[in-house]
Amino acid sequence: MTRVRISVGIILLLVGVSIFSGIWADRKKALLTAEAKQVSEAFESGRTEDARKYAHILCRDWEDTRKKASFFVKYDRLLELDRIAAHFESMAETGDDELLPQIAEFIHMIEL
Amino acid sequence: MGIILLRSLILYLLVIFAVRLMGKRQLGELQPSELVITILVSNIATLPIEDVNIPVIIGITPILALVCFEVIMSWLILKLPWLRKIVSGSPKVIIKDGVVDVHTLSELRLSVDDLMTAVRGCGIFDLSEVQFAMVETTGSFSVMKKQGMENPTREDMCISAECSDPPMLIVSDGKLLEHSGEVFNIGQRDVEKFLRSISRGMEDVLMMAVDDWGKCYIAWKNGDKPFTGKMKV
Repeated sequence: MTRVRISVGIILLLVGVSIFSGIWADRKKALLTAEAKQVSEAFESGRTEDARKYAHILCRDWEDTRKKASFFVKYDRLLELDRIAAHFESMAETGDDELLPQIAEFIHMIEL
Repeated sequence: MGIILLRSLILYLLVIFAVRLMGKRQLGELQPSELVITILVSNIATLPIEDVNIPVIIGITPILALVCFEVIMSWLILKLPWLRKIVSGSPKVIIKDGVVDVHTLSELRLSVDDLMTAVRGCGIFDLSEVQFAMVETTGSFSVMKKQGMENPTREDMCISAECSDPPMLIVSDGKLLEHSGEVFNIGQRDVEKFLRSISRGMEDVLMMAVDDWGKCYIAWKNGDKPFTGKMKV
């Protein structure tokens, strides 16, 4: 009976962690997507300084999310996202047109 | 390299925990559901060890979940006989009254050679000696000889015998095994007192086994002749 109780406890814990991580992932996804859209909107309307500022916030939040996400997301996927996000700030600063497709790809990968 | 070692250690400990959680049933012959779990767990455990790209938690979660499902399922099987029939199947009689049931044999996809192999595995080389045989849900064979072919027992020959449990180890390498001591209601003090009475100490004992009747066997660390006799407490 002890084993059954331990098993039920573990299952409940796993269910709890799954629900929590699911909610956390959804929230982070929504936050990062909104921030990425903010960057692209600012960039499209020619507000380079705002775009750089938003890109800085996006990179900071992504860095925070990445650290926690590495517990349950495959590292190669995170590295790919990391590689894309690393250039946002400099691209926004220099007005590089590559920023928009990169942000689109970032949003697409975040949603995956 | 260090990360792989650490991952291996974590998953090794986890699989040990998983097997312990499944209990002793798992270590014996496997039921179909247990076989499935064993195959799955061994496969899943290797993935995060081999591939450092996969987070350890991705390996831990399915192993824990599968093992817990198995434990809960085995508990449910215990409570619900109909579920046991679905998950584990039921034993099949293949020889009854010394007659081989060919229909069941073909249903189980067993050839006569398989049957003979299984019967030989039970120490019987002549099928005419078999009264009754069945295939258990684990796939093992249980065979009963014809009564006339069985060895005579003490009871058949009216020889009386006292029933007692086998001797249990109560001291190992100079240390009292408390669980065994409790079975016979023997404490550390009793053992030390007895050993003093034969001019020995606890530290001299390699192993000491005692049965229900107080008969004890003591092997000494220094290689002296073992002591056999009654333990007086």
